[in-house]
Amino acid sequence: MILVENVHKSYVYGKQRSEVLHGINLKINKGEFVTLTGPSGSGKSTLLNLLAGIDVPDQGKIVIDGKEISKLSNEERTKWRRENLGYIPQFFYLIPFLSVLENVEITARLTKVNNFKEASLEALEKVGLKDKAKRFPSELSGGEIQRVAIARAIVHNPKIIIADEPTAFLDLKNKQNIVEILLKIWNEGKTIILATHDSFLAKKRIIELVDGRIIGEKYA
Amino acid sequence: MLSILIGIKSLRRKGFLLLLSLLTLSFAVFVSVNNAAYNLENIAKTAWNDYVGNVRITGIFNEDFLDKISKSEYIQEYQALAIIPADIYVKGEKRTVYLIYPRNNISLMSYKIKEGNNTGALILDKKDIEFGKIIIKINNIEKEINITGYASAFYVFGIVDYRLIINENQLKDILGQIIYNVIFVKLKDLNNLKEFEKKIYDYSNQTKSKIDSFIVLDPETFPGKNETNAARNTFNLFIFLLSIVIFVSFFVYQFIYLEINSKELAILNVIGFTKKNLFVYYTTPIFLIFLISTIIGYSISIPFSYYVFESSLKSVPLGFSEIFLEKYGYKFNNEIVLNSFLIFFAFLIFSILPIFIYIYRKNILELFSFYFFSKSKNKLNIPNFNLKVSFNLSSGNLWKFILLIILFSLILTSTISLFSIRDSWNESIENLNNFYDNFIYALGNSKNLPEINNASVWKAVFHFAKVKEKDVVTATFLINKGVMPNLKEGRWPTNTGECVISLTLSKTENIKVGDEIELEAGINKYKLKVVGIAEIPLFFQYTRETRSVVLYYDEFKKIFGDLEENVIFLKGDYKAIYNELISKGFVVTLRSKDESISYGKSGGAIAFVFLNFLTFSLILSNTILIGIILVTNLSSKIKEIGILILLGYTTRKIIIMIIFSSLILIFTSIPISYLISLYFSSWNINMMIEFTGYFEPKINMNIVITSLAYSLLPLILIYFILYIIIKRINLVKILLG
Repeated sequence: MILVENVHKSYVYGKQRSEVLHGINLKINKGEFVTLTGPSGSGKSTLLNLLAGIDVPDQGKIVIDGKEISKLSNEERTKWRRENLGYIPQFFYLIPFLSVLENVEITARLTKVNNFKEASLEALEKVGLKDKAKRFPSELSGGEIQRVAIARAIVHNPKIIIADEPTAFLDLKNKQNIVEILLKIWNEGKTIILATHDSFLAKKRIIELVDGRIIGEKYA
Repeated sequence: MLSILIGIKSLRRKGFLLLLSLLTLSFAVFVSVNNAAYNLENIAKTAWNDYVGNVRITGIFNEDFLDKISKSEYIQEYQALAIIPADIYVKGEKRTVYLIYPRNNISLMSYKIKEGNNTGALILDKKDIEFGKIIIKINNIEKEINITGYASAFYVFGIVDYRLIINENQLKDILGQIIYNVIFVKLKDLNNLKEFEKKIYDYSNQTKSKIDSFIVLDPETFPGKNETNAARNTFNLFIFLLSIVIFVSFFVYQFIYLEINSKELAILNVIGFTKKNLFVYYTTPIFLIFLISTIIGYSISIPFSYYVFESSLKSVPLGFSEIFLEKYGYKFNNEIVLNSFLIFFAFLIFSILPIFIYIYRKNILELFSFYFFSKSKNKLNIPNFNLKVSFNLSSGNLWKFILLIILFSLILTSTISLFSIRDSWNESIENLNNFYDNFIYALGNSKNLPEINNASVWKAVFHFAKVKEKDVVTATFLINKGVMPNLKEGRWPTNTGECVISLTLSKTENIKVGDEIELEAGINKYKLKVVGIAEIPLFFQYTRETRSVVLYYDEFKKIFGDLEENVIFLKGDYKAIYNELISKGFVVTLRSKDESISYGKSGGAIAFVFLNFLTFSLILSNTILIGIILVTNLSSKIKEIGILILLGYTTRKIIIMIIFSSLILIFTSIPISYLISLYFSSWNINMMIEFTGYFEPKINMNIVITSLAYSLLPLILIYFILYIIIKRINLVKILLG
């Protein structure tokens, strides 16, 4: 279970401090599919970064499966994220000098997955890219790169998957394709938190953020 | 115009300030060292000759003789010195001293009072003697002498503990009369040497004076010349290395800079910048930095250059004193500034080559990389996953990796060479001084020498002769009772026209037994047949090898006169001989073999100053280069590292991966460095510090391991910087793109 209690977060830009999140309270149960929606600058990515332990709140706490991750050190959060989380970023972040398979293998090796090569190929099969395992990122399309990022996020079988606008730079067909893959993974019992500003992609429990505040919640 | 304008504005980039500082410093060092080397070279030709003149005459001379000399039409100026060896009692201990009376202090061989006055004696080089009365002993007669000041002068005449400048009254009091034994003369015209020599002998006959030797002083063979040469060679080598470092740094920097800013290049191209515009935009700041750095560097080099020159001279204790430095008119040579500017300009042109290639001929670069990288990815095709990641984080490209290997090999080579030379140095001094138990330096008439067994007695002159244009020590042995230096080949001379040469002379000038050499002493030349090669300690107070020639005694005496300095190498008990020498009025300095070895080793300190300087420069410059490559490479891969951290790689794990790749670098460098060091250390030491004698430095495993430990220190520092960079990575910023 994920518990977010009165979380505040602000950033300093030059001499000005800008508060991005204003006292967020949120509870996400195990196995839920949660979609965060809202316009640009509403705080979706910031909230996801806090949930993934990439950043820490200025105030409030985040407890995941009984562990207050906001109190962990940077290194401890890295290790926690490694074991418990799959992260799909907004931009196409693959390592350019590694092949598709090697990019997926990174996580598998880190988390000491048995038969990491087979596991990586299996993850690539789930996203429909097993045949392109030996290619390099520069030889793939945007949609394919994002699917590799999904394979990399699921290869070690994490409990939670966080996807920060993974469809932002894709065409409609690819957007739908990515969401379908995420739903398929959710059906395997994972907790999925997806951020998107495309309202038609929002699924299941939908939480709307505006100016760093939760203004509404609905189910679809 | 727009390209130039935004080019100027791009100077605000952080990296440019660092580049400006580095270039300014490099230019300042470049000009300073170049100028110091030029002045070091010049000092040999002018200052020595101005200070000592052209001719040295030894013997016994009275005032009538000097009166004749002073009226001679050939003479520009002269100096007569009375040099008297004596014993002196300092804090209850008997020590040796030369009492020196210079007849005319505004001429050659002058001195400068540093403290007090010359109403009494002046002590040279402030030591442990206080002003006031002190007891001296000459010919077993004790006298009191009053010391009233300290002075500086270049009166290096032999192995004594102290040198005192006395006045006319003190000389009269000591000797009862005024007699001189050395005269230095500066001629109006050197073409009149022969006539002047003839006149001098006429004067001696007329005035009942006695001439022992008439030596023409060669401005190229002055004391300290070898040390000055060593300094100049070191500086030249330093300049050469600095040039390479500046060039490589500039070149690498441009490539990396373009790699990092390739996106900017593309965007500018998209908005309408032509290739020419882009080239102007990228080269404008480089030209400006070049101009600013040379102007500031020039201003810094003016005082810095004199500092380098003065401190390198003062680090040579044998050859120089303050007065010698004062005699020399230091010049800041603007021709050198212009040359340095042109060399730097050449660097600049080379350094903008990558910009030109990158903008105009990018395809050629890709074609070039085809040979080194896997065809499709422009990256090395490494099968091992961990190795691949490590390699890409630490260097990325094969050419960068090869450059890293070369740079680290150079660091390792210089440290291996340093340690190997240091070890071999000490060993060679021990071997050289192993043939005797005690060394006695006895000042007095050799006719009065007692009967000595188990010893050899030597006489030597420094800086008065040359072989193949190189300064040599000329020596002879008066007595040979079995205690002789190590004869490597042949035999000792038994007749005139024969000589033994030192191993150093043999090796450096490729002279063998049976060869004929020409010994130049002043205007005279002597043909000598080499009958042997020996390792003889005739340098650095008879503790080190150097270029030397050993003549048969009669021939030596004919050329250089009869010297009062007797060098005795003795085996067994020294006490009886020592006491007998004292009772016969000799001024005696005793030194055990161990003291000689220790002293000889300390003589290496001068050379090690240069060696350490060179090694330090190499380590520093190469560390900077390695640092530039590793840090800029890492900076350009921040995003990749960010992803790795996002996926769960800890900072520690990433740095371990980078170090892992560096282990390959280190282990590849060891055999390369070992092979280079074998040649480099021998060449380095014999080229740079040739005056210390020839030897082949040895390299063992211990030296390699020690060198590796020292060479790794700068790498650790670089890895610490990398660690800080990785630690400070802001994942949020990376995720924002």
